[in-house]
Amino acid sequence: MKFSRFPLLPALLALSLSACQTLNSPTVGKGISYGDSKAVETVSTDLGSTDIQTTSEKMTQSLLQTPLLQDIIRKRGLLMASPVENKTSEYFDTKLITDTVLSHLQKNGVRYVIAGDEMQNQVDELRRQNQSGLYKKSSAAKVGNMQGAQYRLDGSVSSITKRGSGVKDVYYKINMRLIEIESGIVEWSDEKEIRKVLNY
Amino acid sequence: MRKHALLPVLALSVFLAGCAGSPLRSYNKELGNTISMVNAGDVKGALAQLEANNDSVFSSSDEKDANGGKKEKTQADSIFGKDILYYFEKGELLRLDNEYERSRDAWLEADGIVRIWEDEYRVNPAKVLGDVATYLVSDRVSRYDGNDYEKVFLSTKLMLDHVMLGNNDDARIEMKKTFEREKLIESFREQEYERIQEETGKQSLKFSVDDLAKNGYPVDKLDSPDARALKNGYQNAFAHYLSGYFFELKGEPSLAAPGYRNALELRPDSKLIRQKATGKLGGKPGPGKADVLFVVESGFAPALRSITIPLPIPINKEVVVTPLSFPVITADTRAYVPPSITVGAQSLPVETLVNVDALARRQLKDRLPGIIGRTAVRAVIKSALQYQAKKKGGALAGLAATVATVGSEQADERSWRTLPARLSVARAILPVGEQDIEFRTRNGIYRGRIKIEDTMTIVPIRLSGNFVYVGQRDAQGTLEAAPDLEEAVEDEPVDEKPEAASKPSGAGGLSGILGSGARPKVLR
Amino acid sequence: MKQMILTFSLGLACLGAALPVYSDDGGSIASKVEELGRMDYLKVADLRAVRRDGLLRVQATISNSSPANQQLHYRFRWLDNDGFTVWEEEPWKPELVYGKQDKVLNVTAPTFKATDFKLELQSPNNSTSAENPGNVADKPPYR
Repeated sequence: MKFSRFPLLPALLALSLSACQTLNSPTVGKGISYGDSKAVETVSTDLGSTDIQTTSEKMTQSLLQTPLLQDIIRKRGLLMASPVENKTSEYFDTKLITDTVLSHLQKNGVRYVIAGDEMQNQVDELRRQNQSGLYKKSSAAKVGNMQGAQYRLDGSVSSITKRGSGVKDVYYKINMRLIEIESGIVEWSDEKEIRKVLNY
Repeated sequence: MRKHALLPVLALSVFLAGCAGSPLRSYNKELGNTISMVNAGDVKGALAQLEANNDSVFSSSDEKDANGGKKEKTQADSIFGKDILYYFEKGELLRLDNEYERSRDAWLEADGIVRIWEDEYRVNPAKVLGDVATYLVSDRVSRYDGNDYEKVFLSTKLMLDHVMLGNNDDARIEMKKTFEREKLIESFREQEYERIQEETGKQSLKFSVDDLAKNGYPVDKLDSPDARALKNGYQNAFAHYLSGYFFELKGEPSLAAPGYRNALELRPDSKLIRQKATGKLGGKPGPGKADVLFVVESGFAPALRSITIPLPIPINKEVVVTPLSFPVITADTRAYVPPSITVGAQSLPVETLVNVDALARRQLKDRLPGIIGRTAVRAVIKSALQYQAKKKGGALAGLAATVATVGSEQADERSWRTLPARLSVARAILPVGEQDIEFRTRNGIYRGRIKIEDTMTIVPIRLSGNFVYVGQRDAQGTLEAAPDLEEAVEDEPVDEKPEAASKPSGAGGLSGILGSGARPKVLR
Repeated sequence: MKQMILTFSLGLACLGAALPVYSDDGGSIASKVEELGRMDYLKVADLRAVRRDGLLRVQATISNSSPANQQLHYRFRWLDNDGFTVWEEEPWKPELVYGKQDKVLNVTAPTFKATDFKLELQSPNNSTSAENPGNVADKPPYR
């Protein structure tokens, strides 16, 4: 069986060689390839790229439809975001959802101010420009001109995990809200549900 | 690959039995000395001892190849070279000596060996699982990849080293790795369990844990309440708490929250964790203050011991009693956890997060069915040999064969011995700068001075025998025996909280009361 | 590669069509739908689009002709009047369509710039034949 295949091999090789030359791709190395960043990822039941993408997409779409948000865009109002809170037991940086929603919104003309820990860098920079004595007074960014946001975006991710024999079911619920900072009124909220099932 | 590697090991084992690098060495004997040196405060001596024990004929001490580059680890290296245990212990000893960089390097070597196992399992799970059931020789001859909880502990300790060295990025990577490792082990154990069920179903010969117990195996030692209370034999509450601490201080609450939540799942009774898992995260300690984590380690991980249980093996319709060896855990009750640490005027409660003793019991209990399965396969073969000997040479030869089997059968007693028996933490927001600390030990009261940095400050403390190690490079302190404490602490159950610490009347009158073993010592 | 041919040929078809207007059942469904291969059991039964508050809203009904559950992957491509994409490539979205179910997909464009769209559909049970590598233009199947 094994031997009978061998005489064929050179013939096959010759054939394939004459048919086409191998074209080198502009790549180095092997074993690693670039995947489609938009592909549906079903590697594990943990939150993954597809979940972030579809969630932020749904949130953006839902937000854009809100008359209030369209109003904010028109009046060049300001938004800030508290990172989406992770209420699951998974080590998953849920801030990614916030980041993606913000960048999608920004593409539609929404302006937002930074908050939280990024604020520290901002303050440090302002301080350096004004207090270090190294910068020209006229070109240094002035202190006291930072703008406060009128609306705040926040949210959370929760999960319920169930295990049976040979099956693991994880249900995720991602919730986001837009809150008017002054009044504390929730002006918009939406949620996305994801169910992931692992059969093994 | 491994099966081939076994052959030379078998052949060599005959003349290597006494040699340190041999796979058939007695690990407990080897480490006993090292540990008593650590207990006496002689880490450097302990390190030298470790090196001497591991001066194998096979491994070159040179870790560089001919071109000066780093040698690549091979499977042969992990069998014949310095094994994972050497790196486990070395990393721990170096850490006690405040040599964080070298400790990290040693542990990274160990990590490389764990990763060989992980990659093997990822690429070819069937093969790794296949090994589970097919050993004909004692477990102790097989390559030691580390126990489940040791693997998790390794990345936890590496994480701590990275934080101590200020390499926050590496610490972050190590944290993610810890949890990936936990998941991998989980999946491995699940599949192994099914595999063993399958295998034992096939075998005509069935022994259960109960059979072992009937023949004198101390099952109750493994099935202790604290071991039963654990979720499994590998997850480490401290690893999760540490990542909670790390990410909280790094201003990443979305990663800190699951850390605390997972830790709480593993230690539902901990007030310290509950407070974080349910409260709001991300509060800043305020100017001139720092969130300080004390990591208190006490004692040493329990030793595995070989116990010989004669089991009746039916061969040719005749029942032959065959002595078989099984590992059993000997308790280490000498660990002492101080009830609180006093910093300045504040008294911080100390909470135990990891009980390595219970972890080891749980792990052994969970693995016992697999060990029994493997041992049973060997038993059948050995019984056949005995039967032949008996038939040909009568009772005397049968006895000789019995002796021979006992001699060659020893359970795997390898484990990471310098791990602490208990790992506890205390945490508080403290003013930056030098601070006096004080806590009780078995031998009296330790007083020392630590430095609290502006950023993340972790203070590792190790209570070992008569000695206290504080993991800060320039930390200084003294251990003062308190006469009224000595009696109170003696023979006290490990976890029980003693009365509030009573301070000795004064340092002056101490020397007269102290025994020679508890002289005030100046500690690094 | 196959996908490239597909996209290219469709791009041509699209340019020729120039379809700015949408009302109920306005244009042909086939011109708005791109299937990767040919879906054997799933089909777009209804497709409608409307512009409200400056945003394009699309509703597609996917019906499953088989009694078995079908996995569907879909995504939209958002275009302007000239057929240029105005939004980044969307992620594929998984959707489960039960046997004999009509599933309604309701989406809003993620940007105000979108005036036209394409719906990309893929089902793991798609069939492809070597002679006709998924060229939808050749077989406008569902109408």
